[in-house]
Amino acid sequence: MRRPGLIRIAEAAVLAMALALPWLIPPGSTDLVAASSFFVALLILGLFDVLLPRGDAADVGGALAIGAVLLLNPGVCVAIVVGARVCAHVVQKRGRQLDYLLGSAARRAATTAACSVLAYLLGVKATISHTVGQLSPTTYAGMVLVALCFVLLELVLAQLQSSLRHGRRFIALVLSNLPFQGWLLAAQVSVGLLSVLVFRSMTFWGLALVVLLLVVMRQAFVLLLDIRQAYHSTIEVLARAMEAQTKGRLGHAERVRDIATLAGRSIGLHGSGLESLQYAAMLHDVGAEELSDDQAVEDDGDRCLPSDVPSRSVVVVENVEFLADVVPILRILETPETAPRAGRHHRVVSAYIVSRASDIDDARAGASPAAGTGRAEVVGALLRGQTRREVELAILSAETLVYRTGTEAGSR
Amino acid sequence: MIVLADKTTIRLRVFIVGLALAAAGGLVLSVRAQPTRVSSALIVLAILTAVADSLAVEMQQGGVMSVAYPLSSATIILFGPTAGAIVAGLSCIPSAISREDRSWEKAIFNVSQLVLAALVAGWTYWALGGWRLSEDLLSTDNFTHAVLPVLGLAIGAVAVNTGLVSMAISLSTGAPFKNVWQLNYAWTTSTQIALTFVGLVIAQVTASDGMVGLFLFVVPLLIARQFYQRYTGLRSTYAGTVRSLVAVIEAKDPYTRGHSERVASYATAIAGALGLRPTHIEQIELAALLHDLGKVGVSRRILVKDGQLDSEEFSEIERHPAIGAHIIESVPFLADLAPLVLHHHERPDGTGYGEGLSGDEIPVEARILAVADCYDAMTSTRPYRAALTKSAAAAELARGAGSQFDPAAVGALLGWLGSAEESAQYPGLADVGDST
Repeated sequence: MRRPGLIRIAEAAVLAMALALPWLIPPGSTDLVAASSFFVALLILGLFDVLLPRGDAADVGGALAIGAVLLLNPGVCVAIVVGARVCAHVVQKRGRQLDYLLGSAARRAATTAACSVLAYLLGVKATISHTVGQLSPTTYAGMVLVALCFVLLELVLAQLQSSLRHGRRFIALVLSNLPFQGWLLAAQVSVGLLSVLVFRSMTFWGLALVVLLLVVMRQAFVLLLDIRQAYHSTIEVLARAMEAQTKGRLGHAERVRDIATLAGRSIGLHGSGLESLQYAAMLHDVGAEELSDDQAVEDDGDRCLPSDVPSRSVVVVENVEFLADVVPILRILETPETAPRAGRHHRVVSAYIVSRASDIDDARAGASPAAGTGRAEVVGALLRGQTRREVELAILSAETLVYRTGTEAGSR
Repeated sequence: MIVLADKTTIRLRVFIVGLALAAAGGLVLSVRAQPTRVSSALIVLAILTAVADSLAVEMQQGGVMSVAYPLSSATIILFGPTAGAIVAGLSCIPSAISREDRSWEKAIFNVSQLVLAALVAGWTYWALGGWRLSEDLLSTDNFTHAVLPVLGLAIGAVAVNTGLVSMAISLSTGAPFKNVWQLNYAWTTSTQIALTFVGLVIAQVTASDGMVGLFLFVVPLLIARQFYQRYTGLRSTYAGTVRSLVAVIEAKDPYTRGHSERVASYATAIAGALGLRPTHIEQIELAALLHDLGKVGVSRRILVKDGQLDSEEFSEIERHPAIGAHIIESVPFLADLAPLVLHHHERPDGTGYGEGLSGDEIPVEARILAVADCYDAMTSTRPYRAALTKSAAAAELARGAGSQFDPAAVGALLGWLGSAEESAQYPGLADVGDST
């Protein structure tokens, strides 16, 4: 984390401004039923936050916050959105994660305040409140615009926070997350607008039904997260068990994964690309594990791995459907000459990182490297000069970090 | 096997014809009792339902889960049971036509069961005091009156739909009805009921705001479907993943190569014969694949030793269930399997190892693993002895039943081996004794 104190102060300042500024707008009459209904619904959804593997939480209440933005007065809206968030945090007894609470509350408050004021200025709020029956196309357009601003602003602020906290490139983060989260953002916009429509006819009962829809979506997401996590832990545990069978190899794959993860992150790999790199690092020598001891090559008394290990690893990993994206990386290690020629292709970069990290760990452990040594050189030659220098620099800094601090970069 | 398949097909065909007649009769009666008028909203709902149905997610044993369900619920709530049944029946025709294995039996079955489910659900909704939202919108005041009819609709639809599909799968595969339902649908019931209420929201928004409201549901439902599809895909390949990686660990030692895979097939057969629930059988399969994982913590010199082990070496071997259980505990998804692995060398008379449990203290799954493990060990060649023949191994199991092995598990395995040999249904078994 970089300059954590400064970031906290900035977030607290944003939160304070977001809570105060909307009150500059004439508040008008406050619909208590609407305010309390949205508060309760947001509080309930806050309790259903999905904890993500890296310790963050995915918030399912964003869609209802859009509904609140479109229906409530700006000052009341920001107060109940932030209040529900804080209350949910307290109820869940996540007292130790104050940084997370401050970050998420500041982000949500800023987004809500900005969009609530926008909705007020566009006159969307007033039209929704005073129209009986179907809304006009202009009102729908205004609602969509406000909802889109909400999800995009929230995404940008989340990536800004991530960039400041973890020292990653802001633009790269935004651009990479936009396609990844595109459908989720569209769903948030849809459900946000739905909450407005059902609230107009059914008030709190309508919100209860929208909460139900969000909970169904959340459950599906949680199932998917759980099974992905199960794969991750199982593969990690079994890979470790395989290494434990081979004298002098224990911990090699884990260290290679740690170097690869740090290096991959610092050159901008993320999401599925980073995940594939981690699995490739973890399993790059898996083909060696099925060799019996007498099949290992003896080199000046040291046990070293035969040159067909990458081919054997490909065969093992090919049998696992979940690891389909890892196979191309291992194939590049197996036959670098068939690799894609694009100088910055992420799979070539991943293969290079894995082979270099493996060589580094072998050298540090004083073990003889695999008989196919020089593979990193061949794969590296596929990269453009500038790219290779960047990647090399990232690997060297990762190496320093992993061996100096023993950091668990791979924990996700 | 062929005779069985023929009988199954005849039974299944009779079932489908009966279902089709019931659906046609029900629809005629419903049209007479409550005719329906075609409107643009009804046509759009029908099209969306058909599109959603073609995106159905396939389950592990052949059933499907579809996001078309809330849309057909909305049709019932908006336009009544007759319209709901027609839309539900028509919705599966495009997917039946586009399917590679076009089978008229499957198409007729799907249309019939969907029509019947919609009719039962729709008339239950009606009988419990539900009303057409196209004529009278829900409001804060009358919402509570709609809850019971919608619950009735949900239960009717889920019971008829999942019951009929489970029955068809059961008739075509021979798997018990209860097992099919539990494996495929037990975990989706609460979601299906929740989705009925989503159908209520769809109906309300369509009635109050027209097509704009209806289209707002498309993205959230597609995303929920996408999550379910990826989940079921990953869930169904999980055991295969474990199998592949465990095979790599075992491949190091030619004597144990394929051992866990074979133990898994014996153990699932025993569990099936004992009538355990599908979720249990799935757990046993995974535990069988992982039962010897702890051997990675035992010296290879001891594991491949050609001769009798001394007491020190034997106590090191005895550590492997605990080491395996410890490794497995670190994976939350597998943590429930740790006791099974820990106790797979226990004996009913209390002289086994692990924690020295006896009788019913040993989990039933671990008792099954013990029998499957010993049978495979006896019928495989080891460094210190040749493999026993299948009949000699079976005799050993029978001799140890009650003291060394759980008698019910032994009986189940012997019964399964006998029937497998008689019908030659399991060619894999022929390989088991080949090493003799």
